[in-house]
Formats: sequence, C-alpha cells, structure tokens
Amino acid sequence: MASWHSILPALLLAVGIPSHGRDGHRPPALDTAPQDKYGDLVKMGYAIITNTPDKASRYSGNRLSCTNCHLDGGRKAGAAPLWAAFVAYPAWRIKTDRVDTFDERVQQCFRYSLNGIPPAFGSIELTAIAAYSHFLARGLAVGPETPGRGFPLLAKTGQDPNRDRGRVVYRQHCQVCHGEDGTGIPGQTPMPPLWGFASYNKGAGMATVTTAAAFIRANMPLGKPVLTDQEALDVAAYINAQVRPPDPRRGLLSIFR
Amino acid sequence: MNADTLTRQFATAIAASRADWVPGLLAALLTLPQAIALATLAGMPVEHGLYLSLLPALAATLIGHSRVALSGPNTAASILLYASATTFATPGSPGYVNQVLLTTFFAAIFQFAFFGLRVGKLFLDLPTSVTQGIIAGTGALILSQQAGPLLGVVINGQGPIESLGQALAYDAKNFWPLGVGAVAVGAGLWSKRRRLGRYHLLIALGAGWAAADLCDVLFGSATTAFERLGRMDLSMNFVSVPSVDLTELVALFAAISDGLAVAAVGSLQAAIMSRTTSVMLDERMHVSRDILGQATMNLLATFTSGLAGATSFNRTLANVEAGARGRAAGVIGVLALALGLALGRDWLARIPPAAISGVLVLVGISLLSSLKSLDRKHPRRAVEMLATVAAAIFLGLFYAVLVGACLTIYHRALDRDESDR
Repeated sequence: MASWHSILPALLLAVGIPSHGRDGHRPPALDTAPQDKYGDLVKMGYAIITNTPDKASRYSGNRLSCTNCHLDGGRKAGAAPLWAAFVAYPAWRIKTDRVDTFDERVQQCFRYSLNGIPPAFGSIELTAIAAYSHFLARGLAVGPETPGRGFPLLAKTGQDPNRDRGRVVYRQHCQVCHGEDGTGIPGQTPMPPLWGFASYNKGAGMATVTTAAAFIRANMPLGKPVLTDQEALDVAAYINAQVRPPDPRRGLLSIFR
Repeated sequence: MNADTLTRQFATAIAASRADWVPGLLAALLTLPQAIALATLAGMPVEHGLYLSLLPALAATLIGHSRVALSGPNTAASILLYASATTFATPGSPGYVNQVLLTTFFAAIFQFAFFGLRVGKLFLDLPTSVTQGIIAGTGALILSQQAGPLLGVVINGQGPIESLGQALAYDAKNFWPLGVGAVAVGAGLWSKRRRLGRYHLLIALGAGWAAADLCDVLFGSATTAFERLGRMDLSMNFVSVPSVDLTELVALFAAISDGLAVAAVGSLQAAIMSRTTSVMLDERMHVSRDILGQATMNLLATFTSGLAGATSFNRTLANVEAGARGRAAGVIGVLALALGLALGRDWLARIPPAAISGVLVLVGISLLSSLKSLDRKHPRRAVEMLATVAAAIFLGLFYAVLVGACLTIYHRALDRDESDR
C-alpha cells in the first residue's frame, strides 16, 4: 500500500495547490484572471509590462519594455519573475540603503532601466503593475527566498571579463537580434536596444556586469541559452562598455564625493 | 466693410488683448498639471482631462458671461464622477470611461435646464462680506493643498487641516521640492515688486522649473527625486459617443442622478466664481449665462473624450492675479496648451509640480490679502466674513456659501422690526 507521502504530490495537484519545484512557482495563466475590476487591472498590468513604451508612454523614457528583462511577461523563473519580486518586498536594498516597498521598486525600474520618470504613487500604471504581479504570485508564500527569484548567480570563473572576447561573442550570438550597433530592431516584435540613448541608463541593475552576465547566462540567446559563464561575463562587459544615458544618481557635483 | 476697417478692428482687438497674453500663457501652464491630476482623481485616463481643457473649455470661455473665468477640470466634479462611476467599473477601463461620459452628458442636460429656469439669479444677493470671505477661504485652501507637492508627499486628506497634518506627519519627506517652491515664490515676490509685476507668476514658474533642472544636473535626478508631469499623447481621433446598456438600467439611473449632482455642483462653482470676480474686477455678473457656458462645455466634453468639468477657482483667480481682463486670456490659454501639446510634449513633460505649487502659493497669499477688507466698523459684516472663511477652511467652499448666506439672512432678520410685514 502506498504511503500517504507518495500520493501527496498527486493530491496537491488534484486540489489545485501549486507546486514549488526547483523552477520556482507556476504562475496562473492570464485568461484565468477574474472577470472583475481586479481582473481588469491585472490585464492592464500585463499590457504595460509587455508594451511599456506604448502603454506607459507618460513615464517610459526609452524603447525597452519590462518584459525585455522580466521575460515572458514577468512569468519566467530565473528572469527576474514578477511573482518572486512581489512577495519579496518590502525589503532593504543596498542601492537605496532603506526598506523599499514593491511600488518603490517599480518606480526605480522606471527611473533606471526604462530611463524615464517614476510613476506617481496611486497612478493607474503603478497600481496595474502591482495587481498583475500580485496575480502572478497567487499561491506563493511571502518571503525573500523564493526559488527562481532574480537571475541565477554565476560561479566565479577565475578570469576577469574581457570586452574584446565579448565583442566576438556578441557578433556570433547577439547581433542577429540586437543589431550590429546594439540599438535593437524595431517592428511588430521589437528586439530591445542594448545600448545607446534608447536603452537602460548607467544606474540600472543591468548596467552592472555581473548582473547582466547572470541574466545572459540563464536566458540568452532567447529560448536556447548556450553561453558559458565566462562568455556571458565577456559579452556583458562589452555591452556595458558602450554609450548609454548617465546614472541619474550622479550629477556634476558627484566628482567631489 | 472694407479692408481698412477690418485691419483697424483687428489691430484694436490685438491691442486690447495684449494684457491677456501673459495670463493666457500662465493659464496653459497651470492647466496642464491640473488636467492630469484631476482626470486621475476622476479615475479617467489623463488624456481626457486634456481634451476637456481644449474645445469644451474654449466654449465655456466664449459663451459664459464672466470674461476672466477659466473652466475645465475641477476637483469637486472629479470627486463626484469617481464616486459615481467606480461602482460600475474599474477606473480607467472602457466601461468606466463610458459611465463618466454618460454622467457628463446628463450633467450638461441638467445645466441647460438650470439656465432655462434662471437658477443663477439666486446668487445675486450674496453680500460682499461673504464673497470676500470666500476669496480668503479659497486662498487658505489653495495654500494648504500645496503642502503635499512641496514636501514630495502624496496626501489624500479630506480637508485642509487633515491634508496639512498628513503632509507634516509623513516620515519620508523630500525637501528638494520645498526648495524649488521657495525659489518660485521668492522669484515671484521679487519680480512683483519690480517693473516685471505683470509677469511675476510666469517668472515664478520659470525660476522654479530652472531651479529643479539645475539641481538635477548638479546632484542627479535620483537624488533630488523631483516629480515631473510626464509625456502626454493626444490622438486626433478624440470623438466619443457614450452608449447605454439597456440590460443595466441601474447604471443609466446612476448617470442621471449623479449627473444632476455634478450639474448642481458645477453651477454653484460657476456662480461663486462669477460673484467673486465681479467683486474683484467691479463688473456686472450674469450667472445664468455662466451656467449656459458650463452646460455647453459639458455637452462638448461628452462627445470629445472629456469628462464633466466646472469653473476652476485657482486657475480663475490666478488669471485675475496675472492681470487678465478679457476673454482673450482664456482663448490664448487653450491655444497655447494645444500648441504646446502638439509641438513641445517632451519639453512640457519635464514641468516639476513643485514649481506649479510655488505659483499657487503666490496666488493663495494674494487671495488671503482680501482679509484686509474686514469691515471693523460693522461687526455683523465682519462676523459674516470670518464665519465664511472658517467654514471654507473646516467644511469646504459649498458650506462656506451656506454659512455666509444663512448668517446674512439672520442679520437682516435681526435688523427688521417684529411688526414688519
């Protein structure tokens, strides 16, 4: 006779409790969102996440959409999923040296990654993004240690990142989608610009080589990540050495700090 | 009529409206943030606030009797619309927008009825003491509303005392916007005392804006964390026709009953402002025609992707303070806003609300100075004025009118002999 331990996963599935495997949480499908005011906000949030320059044009400052880093509309584990972020805040951040709320964290994405204007508290954009993230996090326990959160950390490779090697990797694996000059490819399914003034600014998390490398290693080229840890570090160093908008935390007087 | 006469008439019109250019530009710059904030307050996409500020506001300026009154997005109307439509749909959703447009339509219909019934005549008897009290009370309200933007705090208090308390009690105050507001107020006061007096509110706005940009360059925008207005996208296809869902008659009835409330509040606002500006500029008033202007505005707003609006206290009084004396200021304001949105949206996106708050502080201070007209020789007039000011601060402007009017009736009754018939 099977012990109750062995049939527990099947029981959990039968009653619809999501499993939390190594891949992290399985967020609900968008079409299961309730047909009410909350559901409307969830759908509005999804539209903003996947088409930020158009749906949050008031605040967006470049051609990037949230989903360019939070892949698959913020659903994909290992690509800074929104469900893991939602349950991790409020949290202290070294970047701000204070406890930030989820809304403040989203505002920072607009200021740095989207190189724009932080949406005001209570704005429909901020509320819709929070509602969508809350919906994705359904069934997830609150806490910072959710498997799948952020990008998987890279192990130390023993070598410094090398931009010259990175240029070769870029041409081989990235150029076809992001363009020779890194400014992306506009169109029906736009490919995001990786540098230039239509990309993230120097204050963004992605402007840190190790963070960008972790994202690239786990997710790029899209759908078939084949780079080694060292190749990811090299290409991240190459991308982040290019021209991009300045860090909003620094002004002319920063040279005296 | 020959070409010479036409040219002469045109030149005369231009000369007469020269004084209205500065207030007109200021009106455009003040309307922009208020249209955004008040559309948001009404739960509508911000573009609706801007559409209301264009054609419908222009109609109110041209049709209403009061030449300096500026109409468009309004706090009281926005709050009523939100309370009404949020019962039926999610703010910002297509269903919600339809419900607001339907309510706006009925508000317009009721205001046409008010015009026909000449309801505005009720306000002819509002005495000067009460009107002066309303002016000073509005000044106090405008000043208290600036605490939030100047301290970088979001406040949702119900009245000036609660709002002020919230702003001061908030832990994460940001003092950079306060500095920008101080620069704006300082520049405004400095230029008012010099020959630049006519331009003092525009100078205040420009100085505040420049100070914010300079601080961003020197210290970094993440350090200063100034709020900015953000970019506005207006499409040319702004025609809207609200639909009625006959399977949900409750929504239709709500649009009718709340349309009546919006119409009443909007007409009252127009009447109060008509009385106020008639005292300030020493001119005749014609409230019924002002209500006709409001009705036309709301009808146009229904079909041009707007929302219900009313006469704005702070924009109208800022208009007077900036020296407006004719309709040209309102017309120039609308044209400048349209032109700015068409050509300079990226530039206008960077207006810091803190600088706007600095301008409104100057307007508030100026309105408070009407307290100087306190009639010390006639204690009853003084009591009427002070009671109106207190009611405005603690209860709101509508109750202020009520308190002032009741006191006046009471004092008149006291003056009469018991045997009078």
